Amino acid sequence: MKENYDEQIDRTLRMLGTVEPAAGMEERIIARLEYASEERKGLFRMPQLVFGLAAAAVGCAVIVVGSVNHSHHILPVAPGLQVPGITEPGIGAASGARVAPQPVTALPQDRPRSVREESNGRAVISPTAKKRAGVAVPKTLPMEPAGR
Amino acid sequence: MSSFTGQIAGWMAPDFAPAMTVDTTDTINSLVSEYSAALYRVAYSVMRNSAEAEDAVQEAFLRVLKHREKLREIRDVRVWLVRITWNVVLDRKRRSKTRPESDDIADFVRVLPSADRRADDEVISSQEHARILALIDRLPVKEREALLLSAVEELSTAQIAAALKTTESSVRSRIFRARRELSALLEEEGVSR
Repeated sequence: MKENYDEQIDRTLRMLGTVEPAAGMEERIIARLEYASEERKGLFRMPQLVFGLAAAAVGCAVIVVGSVNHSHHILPVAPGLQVPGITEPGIGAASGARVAPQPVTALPQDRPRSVREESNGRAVISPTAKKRAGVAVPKTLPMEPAGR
Repeated sequence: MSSFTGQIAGWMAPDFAPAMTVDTTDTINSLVSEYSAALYRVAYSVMRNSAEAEDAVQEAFLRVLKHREKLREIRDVRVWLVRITWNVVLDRKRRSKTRPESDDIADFVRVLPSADRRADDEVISSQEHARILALIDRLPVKEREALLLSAVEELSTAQIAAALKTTESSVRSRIFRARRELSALLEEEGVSR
């Protein structure tokens, strides 16, 4: 009986070991591999395209931000004559020299400081006080005695 | 050339890539021609359905395509392919555990090589094959795997051992135990019938 079981097992194992695939299996596998390969190529190219677009977008953003920053930035203008390109070699035109607007120097208190004299209650502007350009201050008249 | 400049060159000249792809594709195609039938038998021993076995072989070759850069490092391609197919088949079998067994008895008849079918194979019916295969499925995993792979004629014991990541002596003892237990199960079933 044992012999019989072994034979049965052998037959079944032989059947498993000799099964034949359906005709054309190789072609079907190769076709599927080619299809998958094409798909993979498409996927492989996609990141490069995305990378390129992202790089272009970042570049544009940098240019725009830089440009906006530049236009908002106020450079301090040194007083005096501004001659652009004065250090550049070559012959410059006389019209190239531009006079920069004269800056107005801020006064410490922004107005002439007056000296209050308690004796008669009138303010007296000191002759040495700093005043705005073009501001005329009358000469201080001699003080009369407070008792008059 | 540094890796960075190499990468840049790769981006700038992607046309160099297809030459290598064609070469790899030829290699994989030759693997399909040489091993697909053996791998089909490996898959069939577990799946017991010709369509599912073919599907498993296709998936195995898709995995080969995915890891094609490893091809040059492989010492024994047959073992490597058998291992991939085996993993695919076990994955599928595990996934299909939830659905009813799809052993198609008529499929056994269909896949039998009719040209060189022996007389004793004719005698045993496909139902008997199904019965023994059902008993094989009741064997412990290690014994079952060794027995099923031993059925594939193209595989030597050493290759089965490599595929199952064990030793040849272990494979032999597993096959021995499997056959013994299978005989016992058959006897038990014969008595109960």
